[in-house]
Amino acid sequence: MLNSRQLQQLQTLVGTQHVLHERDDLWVYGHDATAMMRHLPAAVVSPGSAQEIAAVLQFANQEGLKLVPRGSGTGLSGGSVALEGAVVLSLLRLNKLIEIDRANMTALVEPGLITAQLHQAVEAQGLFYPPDPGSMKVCTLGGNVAENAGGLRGLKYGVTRDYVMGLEVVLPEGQVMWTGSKCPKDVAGYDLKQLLVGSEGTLGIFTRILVKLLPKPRAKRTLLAVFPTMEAAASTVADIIAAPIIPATLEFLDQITLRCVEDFAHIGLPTDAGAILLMESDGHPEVARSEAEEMGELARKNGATQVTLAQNEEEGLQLAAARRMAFPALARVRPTTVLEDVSVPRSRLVEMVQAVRRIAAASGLMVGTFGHAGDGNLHPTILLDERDADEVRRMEAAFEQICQAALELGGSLTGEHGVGLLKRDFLERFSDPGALEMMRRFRSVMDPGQVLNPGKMFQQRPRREGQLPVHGGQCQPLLEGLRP
Amino acid sequence: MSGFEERDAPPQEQLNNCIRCGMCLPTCPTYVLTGKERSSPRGRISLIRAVSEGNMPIESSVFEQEMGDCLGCLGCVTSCPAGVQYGQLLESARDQLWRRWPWWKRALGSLVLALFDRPRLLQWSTRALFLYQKSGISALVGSLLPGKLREFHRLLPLVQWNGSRQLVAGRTGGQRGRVGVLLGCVMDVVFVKENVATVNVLRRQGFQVEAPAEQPCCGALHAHSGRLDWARSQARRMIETFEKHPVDWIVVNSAGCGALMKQYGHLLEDDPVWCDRAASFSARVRDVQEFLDQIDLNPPLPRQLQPLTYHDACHLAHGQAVRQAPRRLLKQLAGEGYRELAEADLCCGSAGTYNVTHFETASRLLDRKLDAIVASGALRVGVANPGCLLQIRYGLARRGLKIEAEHPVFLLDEAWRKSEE
Repeated sequence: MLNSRQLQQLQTLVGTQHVLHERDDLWVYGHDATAMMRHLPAAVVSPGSAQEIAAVLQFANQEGLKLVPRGSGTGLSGGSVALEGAVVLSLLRLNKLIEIDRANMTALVEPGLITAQLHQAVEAQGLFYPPDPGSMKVCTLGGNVAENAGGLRGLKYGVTRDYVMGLEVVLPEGQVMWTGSKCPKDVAGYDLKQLLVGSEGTLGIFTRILVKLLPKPRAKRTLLAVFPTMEAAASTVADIIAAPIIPATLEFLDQITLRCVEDFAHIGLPTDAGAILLMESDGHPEVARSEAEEMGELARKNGATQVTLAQNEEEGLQLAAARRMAFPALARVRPTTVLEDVSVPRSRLVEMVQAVRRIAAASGLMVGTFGHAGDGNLHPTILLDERDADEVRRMEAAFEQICQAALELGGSLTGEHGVGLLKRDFLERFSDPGALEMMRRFRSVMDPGQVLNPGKMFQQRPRREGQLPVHGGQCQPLLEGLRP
Repeated sequence: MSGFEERDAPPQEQLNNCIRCGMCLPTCPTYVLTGKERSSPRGRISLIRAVSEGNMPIESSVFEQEMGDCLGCLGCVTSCPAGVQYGQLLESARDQLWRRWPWWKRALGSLVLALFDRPRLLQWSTRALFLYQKSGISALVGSLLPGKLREFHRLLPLVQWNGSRQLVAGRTGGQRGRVGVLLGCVMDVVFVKENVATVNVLRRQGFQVEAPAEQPCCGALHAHSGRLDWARSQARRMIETFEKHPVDWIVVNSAGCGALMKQYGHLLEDDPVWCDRAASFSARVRDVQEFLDQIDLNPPLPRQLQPLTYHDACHLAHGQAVRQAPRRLLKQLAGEGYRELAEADLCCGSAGTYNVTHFETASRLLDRKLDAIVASGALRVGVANPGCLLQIRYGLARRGLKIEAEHPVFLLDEAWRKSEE
């Protein structure tokens, strides 16, 4: 809890109307989009400039306050949940698109700008910003950079990291720093911006973001293939990559997911199929067409029972509907939806899907899997009712087993959602000790006062044991079983 | 310990189905205007859940204010991946709040709602308004009233002596099937030509049209204000009316009414005597544009090239998921002249009586809507709900624009009439 002097000072720094501190006002900032996590922040502060953010951070260092940056609150790893009585630092007031530089193909934005708004603005000028996380209509670029967000176009175009050229950052102690430039070639000193991308709000607050833009692809062709088994779909993926073709999109739905989609949307998917693949190629119209046809051929060669090539954009959208509805369709089945995010090397995709199937069967829970076949990032989605303690226990076990299976296959704990709070203990258990130690050291150098996003990604020493301190007795227990 | 009474408590399963993904945020007018989480659907559901789970007292001013500030436009329902029926949550939360109001506040609210519930009283009030407008007193008062009161005065529609009940009630012949028509409360006395057009269009298509004069108000205004029991009694009367006058479909030209009438089955699901009758009734309810889009138009719709656009009434697009039917009809009518409206499905700020209770917010939304209409270049805009018609017509007049807001069914009827001449 803040004392009244601290509250007054925060109000002086950012303006009284931009500080929320009544309990009922704070309630709705107690969670992001992560299932089963809720902690009340001590206050919500919405600064309007980098200077105000710097002042808030300096004050936090003096007073020993904790701060958690937050955009639209769509994170899926609990990254913006306020632990340890932290104050939420909302960046939504900094939401301007400052500049689109056509000559250098860059855009300069503030962190609170909605990702889809950047898409719209640059595409109106024939340009292209590829990262397209599922929540792009809601999420902010600041959050995208902090989580190093991915999306459906990751295989061909990479992720947020590949587009960040420069950052203005308020460092944890309150200094304002710029790193990067508009030059594609820039090797002056350490590449600090790459360390800050994906730092999940632990190393600094971004106040301006310079991103790289591409020319907008002139054409896009979409096709959908239905396979009798997941294995057939996976070997199609392997053949496409070996062809070699790098499609813009290569997405899969497993049988449970496609049944749920069909149940919900009635779009004519064969429910006895083992998997479907959504494929898209873009670029020069000729190239897009021939690649799409070649992919269709490869799908048939691998036993696809049905291959549909969209003839125009509208048909393409219809085909893509199945993939877009994967999450909504699953989310409707049970009250609670726990979205997993492991990544494996592309060649191990089938083994991972099989592992998920095994784990699901053992847990007795329904788990639908969909995701990015091209880049090996899967979203096994565990469906349960959080009020059922037994189901929660089984979910936690399955969750852990899925993470372990991915690591055994040479994969990663998280492909695009981040570690946050959800996978913090896994990171500590499964990381290379040397790497973890390096991360700890780095964080303590950057943030000696341990001000930013406490308790996220990994614990700073000294390590706490047992229950985390909770605020006002209002929090739900965190995923108990996740703690080693 | 829940802060809600058990009867008509916000349904638990709807609260649990919210996965807090935030996809509703950019579709919510009040969130777009304020940027505050508590003024978003996700925030409001979180507040309802807090009260429901005993984590927030129902007396909380934040809770009461947010339940009142919501437009009830249901834009969030369209965007929700988990299929949360937010309307049910809002209406039951409002019902719970209403029960706790002081007697005088409840009496005042009931007085307003009672007017809509009594067709005869509403008719005579409208006639009084007609005389007031005809006599010239209205113009005088309008020029004397200060600030906001003058705006409220300008919101009053120009009315006529006779309502639609006097012009179209009863049964007319036809071979194609029996269609019941809802005359409505406000529609009946203020939107007479729209009701007449609805009946004309259906008759022209060869249907036997039944518009019983004794039909009540549908109860939508009552339900949206959180007076669920009142709405239920209206629903029962409505169902009874159309049991006495059996029809194959009940056609509705007011989006707000249609949205509730399609929900009668849900509204009365706990009533063993009425649940099946209500479900059967709801299954036969169609918006007039949805209905015309589903049948083969014979005579076909004439083409009249004209710059035309369409505004999505919230309770049609979000409440009934009817989006393409009106567009298909208007495109057929206007051909190349049809143009899409930017942010077509963003609320215009009318939202029942919201433009009176929350004038500032409503005005900002209205300005946004008017800007989009002007930018579309259309000279007429199709608007399929009485509240939106009042609001948009008031806005167009206030700006002195030469653009007309008309119900699509009126535009269709007009086109047919002209082609017959």
